[in-house]
Amino acid sequence: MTDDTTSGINPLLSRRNFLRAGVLGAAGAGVALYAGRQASKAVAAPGFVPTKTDEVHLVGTDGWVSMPDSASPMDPYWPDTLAPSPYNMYVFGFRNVTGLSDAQVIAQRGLAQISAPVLAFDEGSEVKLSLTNLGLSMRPDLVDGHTMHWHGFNNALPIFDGVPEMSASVPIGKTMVYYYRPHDPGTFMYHCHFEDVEHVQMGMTGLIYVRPKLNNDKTLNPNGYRYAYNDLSTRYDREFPLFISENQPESHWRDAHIQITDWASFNPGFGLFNGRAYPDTLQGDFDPLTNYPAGSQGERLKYQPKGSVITANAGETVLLRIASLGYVRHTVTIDGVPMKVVGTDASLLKGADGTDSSYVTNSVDVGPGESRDVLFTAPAAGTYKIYDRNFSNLSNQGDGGYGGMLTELRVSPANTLPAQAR
Amino acid sequence: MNLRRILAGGLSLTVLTGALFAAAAAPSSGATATPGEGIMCEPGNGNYVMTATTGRMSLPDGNTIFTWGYHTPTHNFQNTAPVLCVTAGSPVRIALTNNLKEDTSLVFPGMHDVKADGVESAPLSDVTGRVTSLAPVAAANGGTVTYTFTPDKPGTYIYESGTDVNKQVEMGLYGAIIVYPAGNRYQAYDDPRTAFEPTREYLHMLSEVDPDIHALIEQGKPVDWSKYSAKYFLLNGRSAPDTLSPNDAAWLPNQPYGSMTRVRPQDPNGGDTAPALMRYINVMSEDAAFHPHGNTERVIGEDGSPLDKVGSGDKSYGSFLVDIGPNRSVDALFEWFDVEKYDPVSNPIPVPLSPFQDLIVKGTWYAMSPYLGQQGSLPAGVSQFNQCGEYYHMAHNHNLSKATNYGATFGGQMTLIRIDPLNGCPAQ
Repeated sequence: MTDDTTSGINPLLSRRNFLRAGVLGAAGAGVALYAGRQASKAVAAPGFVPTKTDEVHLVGTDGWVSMPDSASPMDPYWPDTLAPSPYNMYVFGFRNVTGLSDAQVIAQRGLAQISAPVLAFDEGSEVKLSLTNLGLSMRPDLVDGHTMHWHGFNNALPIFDGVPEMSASVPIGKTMVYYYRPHDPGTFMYHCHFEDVEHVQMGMTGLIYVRPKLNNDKTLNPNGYRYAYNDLSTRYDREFPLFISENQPESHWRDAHIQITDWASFNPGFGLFNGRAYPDTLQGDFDPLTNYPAGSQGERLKYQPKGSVITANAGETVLLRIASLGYVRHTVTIDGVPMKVVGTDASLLKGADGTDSSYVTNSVDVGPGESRDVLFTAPAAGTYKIYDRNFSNLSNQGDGGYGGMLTELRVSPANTLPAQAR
Repeated sequence: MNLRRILAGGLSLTVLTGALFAAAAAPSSGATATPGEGIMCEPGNGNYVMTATTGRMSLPDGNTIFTWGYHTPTHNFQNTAPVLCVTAGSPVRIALTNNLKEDTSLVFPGMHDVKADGVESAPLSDVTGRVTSLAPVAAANGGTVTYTFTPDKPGTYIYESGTDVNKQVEMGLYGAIIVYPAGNRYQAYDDPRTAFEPTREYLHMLSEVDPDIHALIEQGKPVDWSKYSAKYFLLNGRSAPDTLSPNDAAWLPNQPYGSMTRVRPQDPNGGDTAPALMRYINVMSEDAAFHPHGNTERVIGEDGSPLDKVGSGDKSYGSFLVDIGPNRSVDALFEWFDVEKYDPVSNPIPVPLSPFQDLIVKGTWYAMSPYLGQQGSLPAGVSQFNQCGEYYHMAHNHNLSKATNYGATFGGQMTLIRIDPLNGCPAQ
């Protein structure tokens, strides 16, 4: 938190001006290359022409979410008595407001979500990401900035890396445009780097996919199959995010109640998949902009919009994009299902000479800030548990029951589910 | 005992005669282009006279911590301990004097046939057979012991206390041993694919401190280790932003090792240099998750073993987060590429950049221009360290609790990667 009353606060949004920016610097024709770090030379071809332009508008703000009501209370920290019903925990977070009017964007102040929206881009495209800081509705005394840090982006420009001391951060009421040309496929993350230990713990964390050029290569990939990397061994039928974080309810309460936290001490209460603790992980996806009926799961979980149930037809290949921005290690298991780790930290597990270093395991190890690209073949139709075998994350605040990082793989008979939408 | 151990043992015996020391091909302290950066080897050519004693370290928030450490006659006290740079196949001798009030010893994980005062260094036990020390000790209050061994494999290793290890390592009794291949000072291993740029070799040794426990030990009071809670998190014995100060900074007299890393972009038009080499050591009791921003490092070895064994093919792997387990080491190579070659005139960044009044500009290291090698004008009230438009990226433990000083952000196990313009930095 920053108590710096000298920073200017200007309520005017200048988002339009930024989104109006066209493609200025990418003139000339050139041949797109599979320039990956396999050759340690992630260098753009001369006269780089992006395959397409993605414009994304995010906001950073605070808000309220709901951990499972069945968890043991942690008086006075959780449930938080300041929380509006049906919520119980204070968070910071991002929201995707692409396409909304300025008035709609401003109206999202105080309505953060966790995990942050999954962002997916194609290798070789260009990304114009606008970040607007809407301020903290619960803490008008704070003037914290927000930033976009694309965690793992190679050869980043400091101005777009989001570390306040190495570049700049976005003040309340302002918008900054971040620009990226992703040259490396894989599973990345993003988070706010402003007072990182606090803003990350409070929930400003999420996933970025970069999908390989091979997906669009009509010669090598005439059937339009999908791949995790530019390697034919990484083909999959369906992909799912499994984004890991943990939260410490006491710190969230302290931020809501204008108290100071010792961030050097960390003891998570809830382990989360895609921003939810079991059994909420089994609920479907919701939309933060939809008005759900009072008392519904949709109302309670719309600011944790992403469910974690993995669905597939028997025999299909599933890509799990597992990544963690928590502070402790996790061991992800699917009961009885072998998993093949083909990529770590957005790097294909294949040496420069083609040596295959991928491995099959029943325990995928994911540490703070790490990502794993995991393929598995959906077994016979049925339901299989997916969970963290770091069992301290498998209950909701040690309530004695199962909670936290637990979800399900639900396999249907072959050829029953329709293909996953792209 | 396999053949290699027997051979190494034979060499160790020769050490005892002392005859080989003059001829030992000990590495130089490195062709460091910029004084004060990179690995700083302790003078000694494999022969070190070391004292274990108590002293103090300073933290960026003004705290001063009672701590223990090893030092040679070059310092009165230091933390972390001297970096010992030795050569595979050449004997090493460490004469330890113990000025602590309790017994202590040294262990060398990964080394074979270590001798203590000429006999095999083996764990000590009490009359019930229970281990009392992992190695023969130098007795409290002035005792001495001399350890000798001959490293046989290049890599990054630890030396540390083998006595009451939980306490003594927490108190600061640990250091790094770098073993270079014989005849290949600028390769990590006996493999040309592990070559590194001579001026770009760095050590990141991660440790942590519970100040309450250090105070209790200073006061001679009993310690409840179940209450252990580290509050300071060190990189080469300093916490950020002290990590950014040069080696041997006068204002950190007991903490001689900086950890700022520095590279130049590779030049795709030729003139590439070898990659930088990062040697990571973790002496904490839990994993270190070290994240270099803007870079995927290539992990080439762990615990003194190259990932690419002879005939194994390229088993190295890319990693934007280097994971170092407790008391382990990892070696990684990295390069930085100016991929887009943005230029304010010929190739501008394709989005408008916010003016300063629309940003929060701490500006401490930012050049006020996004273009490598360019500097912009400073907003009023902002001062900065940027010299010539060089880039800075952060590198830190992504268990963000440990990237703090007692919970305060921008501290702890954090340093910067400095990227100079391709043609260098005229200000230097």
